[in-house]
Amino acid sequence: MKKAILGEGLMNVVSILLLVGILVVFHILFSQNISYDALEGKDRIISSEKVVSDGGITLKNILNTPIENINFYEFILINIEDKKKIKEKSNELLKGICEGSEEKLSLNPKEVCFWYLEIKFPDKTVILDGGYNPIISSYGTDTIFTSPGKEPMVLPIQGLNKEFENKLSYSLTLPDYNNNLLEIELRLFKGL
Amino acid sequence: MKKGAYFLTGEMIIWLNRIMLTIVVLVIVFGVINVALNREIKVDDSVADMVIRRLYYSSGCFALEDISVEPGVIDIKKFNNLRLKDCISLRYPVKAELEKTEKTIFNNELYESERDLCLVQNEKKKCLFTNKQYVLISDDGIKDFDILNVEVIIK
Repeated sequence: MKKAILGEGLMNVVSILLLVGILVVFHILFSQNISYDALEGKDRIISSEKVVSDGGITLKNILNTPIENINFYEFILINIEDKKKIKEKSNELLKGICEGSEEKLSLNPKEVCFWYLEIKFPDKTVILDGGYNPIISSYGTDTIFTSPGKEPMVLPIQGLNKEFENKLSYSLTLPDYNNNLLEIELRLFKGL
Repeated sequence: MKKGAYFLTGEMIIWLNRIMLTIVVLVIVFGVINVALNREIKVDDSVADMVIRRLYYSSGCFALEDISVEPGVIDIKKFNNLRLKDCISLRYPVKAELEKTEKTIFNNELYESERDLCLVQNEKKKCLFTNKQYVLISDDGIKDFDILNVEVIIK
């Protein structure tokens, strides 16, 4: 009799543990709110891949921006040897959407933005950046490492895991004057 | 005391335990299923994203329509309060501003009040969404660049 009651008690304990397990699984699967913001690769889904597939509004508009009776793409092709001139013009155009400066970095790191424009010619690759390209720049307790064409890295000195929130990448393939196809990519890294 | 009476009471206690446990399990299982079925998936961000994109993708809003629709190119003649009211439902109060042209429009006269109300709400319920987009402006065929700042309130 005692054995039977002991067995019954054990069965109850096992049932309760099983129930707790099921509840934990349900909790993980259902009770948490799914935020669209938190979806993995959201930027790729709505901002990069989709935009790239229809031309990339931002890059398309930048390259189509009229400058001295030509558009910015032609301006790049004509002045390809004069990087400084292209950089100045790019900064002027991108100022409204992506600006990186030491002042901004120290005052409001969330607003700081780095941009890289990469143009792949058949024989060479030209990489332009926003001009503000600190190798090592400290603000607060973190350090940022940047290098042309690469994603800026944040070294968290206090162990906080920070990264650039918005990584947008737009690309287009366009012909040059010699009918070579050039691959143009604009990468924006915004906010920390 | 008779032996049979003792066994009957013990058996009853065991059955009572079983019945109570079964009821508790059933209540919890139904409760959990109910929570799962009634849960809300937050799609406010995606709704805001679609509303904002509609502004410069659709010719029903501001996108230039020449031979074909040019997404991202804004026809400055279309950039007015009336057009914004027609293309975006009043359900979503919207403020659109062209930085360089210095023109701001609303689809709702009470936008500022709605915005203030939204900002005092609980931080967890994010209701104000913003976007900055590099656009081209077409004014009688003459194009120039501008920055379109959009704010949308999803209640």
